[in-house]
Amino acid sequence: MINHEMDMLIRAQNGDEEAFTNIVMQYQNPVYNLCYRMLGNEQEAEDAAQETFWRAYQAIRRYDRTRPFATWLLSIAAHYCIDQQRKKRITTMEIEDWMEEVIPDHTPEPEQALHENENKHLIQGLLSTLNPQDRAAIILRYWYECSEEEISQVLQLSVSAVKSRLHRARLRLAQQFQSQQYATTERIRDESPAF
Amino acid sequence: MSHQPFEKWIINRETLTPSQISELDTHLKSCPQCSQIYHGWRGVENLLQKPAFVHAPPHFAHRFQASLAERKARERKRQVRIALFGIGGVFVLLSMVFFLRLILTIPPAQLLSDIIGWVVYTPQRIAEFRFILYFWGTQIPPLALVAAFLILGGWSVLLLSIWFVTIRRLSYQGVPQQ
Repeated sequence: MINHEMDMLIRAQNGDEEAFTNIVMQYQNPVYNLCYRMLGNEQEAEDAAQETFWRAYQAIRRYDRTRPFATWLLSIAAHYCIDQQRKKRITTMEIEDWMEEVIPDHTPEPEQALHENENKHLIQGLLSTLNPQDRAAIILRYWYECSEEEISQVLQLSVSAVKSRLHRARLRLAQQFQSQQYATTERIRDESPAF
Repeated sequence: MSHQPFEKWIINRETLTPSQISELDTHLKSCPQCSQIYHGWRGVENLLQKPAFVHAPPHFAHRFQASLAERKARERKRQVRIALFGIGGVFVLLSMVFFLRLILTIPPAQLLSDIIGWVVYTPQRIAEFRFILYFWGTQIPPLALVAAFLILGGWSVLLLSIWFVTIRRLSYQGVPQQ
């Protein structure tokens, strides 16, 4: 951890609100991205990210400076989002929403933006098919390039549990990707006058 | 047909030895189920190569800072509520213990006679207490009474003014933000 960051953390631990606001500014994107990937909705992601920083603010005195701060913060965010997901159990609904969204609309739009948008929805649709802990493991692995040990620290699981969760999640993603590709092909065929 | 260890190998292809890769390829040609997983995983891998990072909306940190005072006030209220409920709970519990002890240790007939006695003698005791107060009241010099009245009145005016000014300032300025 660089000295400036450590200095800010010490100040925040001593109750300096300005230092904590600087921490918020520094970590807002990683925390928001994790919440967005976990919840799949911008408003919910904002609320979850705000709640994460509030919880971090309340618990900052208990933060152990020998641990990486990002891991500690992401752990708070991941657990909050997992709890939210468990409360809501919206997985099925989200797949349906995604199916609606990926149907191409016919408004003129640059091709690349359309492609990026499709990819964004595609990833989000796939993630929503995973259970919350598996989803968190995949997000931490691919968006944050966390090692299995780091994921185990964030999610408070054993390394072997993380390995098995990652394997199960990847397998599920592969199956879902194939079935969604199949569904899309079928839909295009049904819509096309050539068939 | 057994899909293990091929399912595992498909996901972890980069860790396989050349002989395992060739074994996997042979299996994929003969197993449509594993082949589907293989193609699916290739697609997912492509998507996850450069996953897009969603950035926080503008002024996120300012919104957090603005909500901090409100959240702190809410948290303080919650703690006060918990403390009051705790004190109330302890009071109710102690009362119940006292009442139970009373019922269990004193015979009902005696308890009833005590209550009746207490109700009957209460007006008489109030009258006696009033008499005592009146007696001691007449013993205090009139100047001391005036002084006590002035001190109490002065303090009340002073404290009420401070309270009024604080409330007024808060209601005009609101909770400080940012």
